Amino acid sequence: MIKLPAFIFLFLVGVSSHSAGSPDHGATHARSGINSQIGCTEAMILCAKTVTAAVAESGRIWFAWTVGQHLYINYSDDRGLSFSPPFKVNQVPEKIAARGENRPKIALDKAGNIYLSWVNNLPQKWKANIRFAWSDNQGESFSAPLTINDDSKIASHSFNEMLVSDDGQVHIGWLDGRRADLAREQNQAYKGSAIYFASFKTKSITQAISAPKNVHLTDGSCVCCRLGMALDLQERPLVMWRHIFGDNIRDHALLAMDSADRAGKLTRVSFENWKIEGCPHHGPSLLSQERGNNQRLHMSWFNDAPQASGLFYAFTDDQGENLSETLHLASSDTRPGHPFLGLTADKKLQLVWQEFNGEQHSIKLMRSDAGEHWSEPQEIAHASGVTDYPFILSHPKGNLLLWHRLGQPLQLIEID
Amino acid sequence: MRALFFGFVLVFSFQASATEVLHSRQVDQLFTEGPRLVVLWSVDCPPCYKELALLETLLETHQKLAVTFVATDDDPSRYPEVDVMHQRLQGEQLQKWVFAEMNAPQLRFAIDPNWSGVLPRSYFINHKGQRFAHSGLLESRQIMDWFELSGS
Repeated sequence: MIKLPAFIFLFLVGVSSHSAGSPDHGATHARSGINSQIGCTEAMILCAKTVTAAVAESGRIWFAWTVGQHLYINYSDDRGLSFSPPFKVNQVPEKIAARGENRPKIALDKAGNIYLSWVNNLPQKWKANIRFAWSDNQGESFSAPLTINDDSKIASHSFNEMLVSDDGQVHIGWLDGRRADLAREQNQAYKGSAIYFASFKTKSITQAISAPKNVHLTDGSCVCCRLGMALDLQERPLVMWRHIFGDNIRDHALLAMDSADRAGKLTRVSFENWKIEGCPHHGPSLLSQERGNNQRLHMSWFNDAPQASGLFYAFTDDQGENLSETLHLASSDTRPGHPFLGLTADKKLQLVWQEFNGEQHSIKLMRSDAGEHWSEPQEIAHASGVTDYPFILSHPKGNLLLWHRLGQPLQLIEID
Repeated sequence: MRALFFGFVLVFSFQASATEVLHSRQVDQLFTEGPRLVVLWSVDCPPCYKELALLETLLETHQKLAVTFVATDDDPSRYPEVDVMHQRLQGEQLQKWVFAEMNAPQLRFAIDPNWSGVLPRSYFINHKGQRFAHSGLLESRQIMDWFELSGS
């Protein structure tokens, strides 16, 4: 049992925030006892542990976040000055993963249709389903949630990533434990997870669709790190992830789909040789940049090898066959994490990541035209308390940093 | 009947080593005396469960091993799951902690500013008080060597 005095202490911390609440947002905040998550169950973005967002061509920013057993969306038409009321996506409550890199995803197509994907945790430990819902009426209503993984057995499915092409082709990739379970049943050795993928199109939200065909991309992925995803110039998916090479070397791999249902060649793209049998909980960021008729892929990742520790960056013009020199962005003594690459409206690069100095979290930003030369890192925000990961929102009126802080009204930071 | 009574006494004495909530000001308590193994783990970390299973087995034959278990799950909704695991780990010199609510970055820093957060993470403190860090799954041999044990 956990010793009681600890719980009493936590309760008192929560209560103490009542008198400290400010009259506006804080009033509700104080009622929620937000200093302790115990009791913060209101459908408010400040109660959410994670927030993800997508930007429509119109400039409307859609947010996806979870409180309790519901996924909510809302939007802002004025770059974060005001927000619409939240809309509850799943009418039937279910346990939704919203922790670190394992969180709901939101994407939009050119027509403004909204796509959501999340992980529904099942009662069995580490077992979950990949879920999906969409709206074809600007978020006024959503389809019934659909389970994307097509295996009939209860298994682990997590760390979903989603991209949607302009014409509404949905691509979802995730870490999948079905082949590990099978190997275990057959007493065979198996390392890590598999990566599975599904590409499909939706119909009207009133027309049910069945679970799309699941395509097996690879085995041997790290079990607890997010995927990086992009589309090539033919709008075929590209996936980057932390792979297990040889004897537990946790470096990164890149794979292009030959078609919607056939995986291409796996190419190793990082070489820090971090050997570990453990959970790094650090996945990579992958970004596509069109350069005339060609595509440059930009990649950033964390590694913690004894001689190469911290954040790294490289690019490739041929899907990993040849790599640029690897840039060591931040050493491990600043405790860097969660790099995120974004494009500005004029197709320049931005890269943000988080650091922690023992008391405060900070966000660093670097800029580049095409990855050959980068600006010096610039601190663009800092905060104490509980902070979410940083994300760049590529907005037609100038990019914004999404950096959610638990218990605080959502603020977007100008970074153009 | 007498054996049954002592069985109950034994169970309750182990429950007395209940999980405590760890705050930054208490971190020094983790590293005060050696030889001791400090194991950091999380309910979100599949390899950690392999390590805990290894230690559970080891503790069955080496009840006096001094081991401190620290779950890095700083979310009270996960404390019950932490405690279920901790209750399985039984020995005569165990300490069990869980990170205080919403304090994981601060506690990781207080424990070791050079630790990236990767799990499992362990520290062995020898009889001179020297600390040896290890990231990733521990092997039985490593633990036996640290504690200068022979056999399995």
